[in-house]
Amino acid sequence: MAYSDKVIDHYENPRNVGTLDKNDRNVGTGLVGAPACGDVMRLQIQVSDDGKIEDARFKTYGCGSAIASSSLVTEWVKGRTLDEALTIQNKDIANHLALPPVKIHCSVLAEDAIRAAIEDYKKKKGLDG
Amino acid sequence: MACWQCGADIDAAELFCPTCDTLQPPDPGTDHFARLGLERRFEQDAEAITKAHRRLQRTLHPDRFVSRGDRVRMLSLQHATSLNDALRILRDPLLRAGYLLDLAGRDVKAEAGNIKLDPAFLMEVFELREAIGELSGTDAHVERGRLARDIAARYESRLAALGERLDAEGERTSAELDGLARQAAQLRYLRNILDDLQALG
Repeated sequence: MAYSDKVIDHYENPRNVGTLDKNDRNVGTGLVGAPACGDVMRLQIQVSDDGKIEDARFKTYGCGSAIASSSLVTEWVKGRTLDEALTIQNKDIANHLALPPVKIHCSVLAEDAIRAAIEDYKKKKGLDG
Repeated sequence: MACWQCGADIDAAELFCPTCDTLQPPDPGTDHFARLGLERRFEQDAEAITKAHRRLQRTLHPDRFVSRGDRVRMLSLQHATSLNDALRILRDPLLRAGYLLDLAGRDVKAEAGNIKLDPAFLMEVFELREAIGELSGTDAHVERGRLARDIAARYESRLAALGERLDAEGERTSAELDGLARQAAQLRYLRNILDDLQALG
């Protein structure tokens, strides 16, 4: 199976790989896994006082599509509000990266990860999930 | 059903028509165990699986049908492909366990959502992955070897336990099947780590 150019680009030059301090009150962490393939993905967001995502980092142990999906999502969420970030759908990710049907679950994983990170942040802040 | 060549009434599981000896399509109702003539269970003799596959490929492989018509050659290719799938899945104990769960109505390869992994387990996997990624220096391969032996021991004992539960007598409840599917998913994680450690050397 051939990867699309965009997947290869994100795989070879992943954006925003790394770690934010998960104990920081302004950082939300989402850790999700895909049982079907054994991939694991951590996505973290740092939220400013006015509710914008000012930084995002990821670490993904999985296939090229999973790495590309999480890399893309960190790019997309930066500068967005939490509500805007929640509008990101797995199909937008899959379309952008031209993922084949067998790799759609990688984009689902990335969507789950951003949702989990936002949920974690809201829980820390005592906001409604 | 009817033989596609001579129209004789035959059992769908027949490979060749008993009347005209023409190759028949693979039976869609046949699972990989039945395809290789094996009992549907986890416990298997690896050698017996390989032998069954080889024996059937000698009968069904496209090489045997080169001088025959398009339809027969296409059917033989379908059989050969199914046999190779059966070998690949049944020879690997983890894939075999997943396949048994699949047959029991728990699709462990399903795209999303239906298996919920314990967050503590995910955390453990993630931290293990990070620790492996951060190993460096001249002793890194020694440490990786130690980790690989450690994880392999856990993997083997958990796989054996899953296999025993899969082969246990009696009906299983839906909740029990969910539990077994979760165990299979956890094993997939450990196996991926092992494969990656092996690739690192």
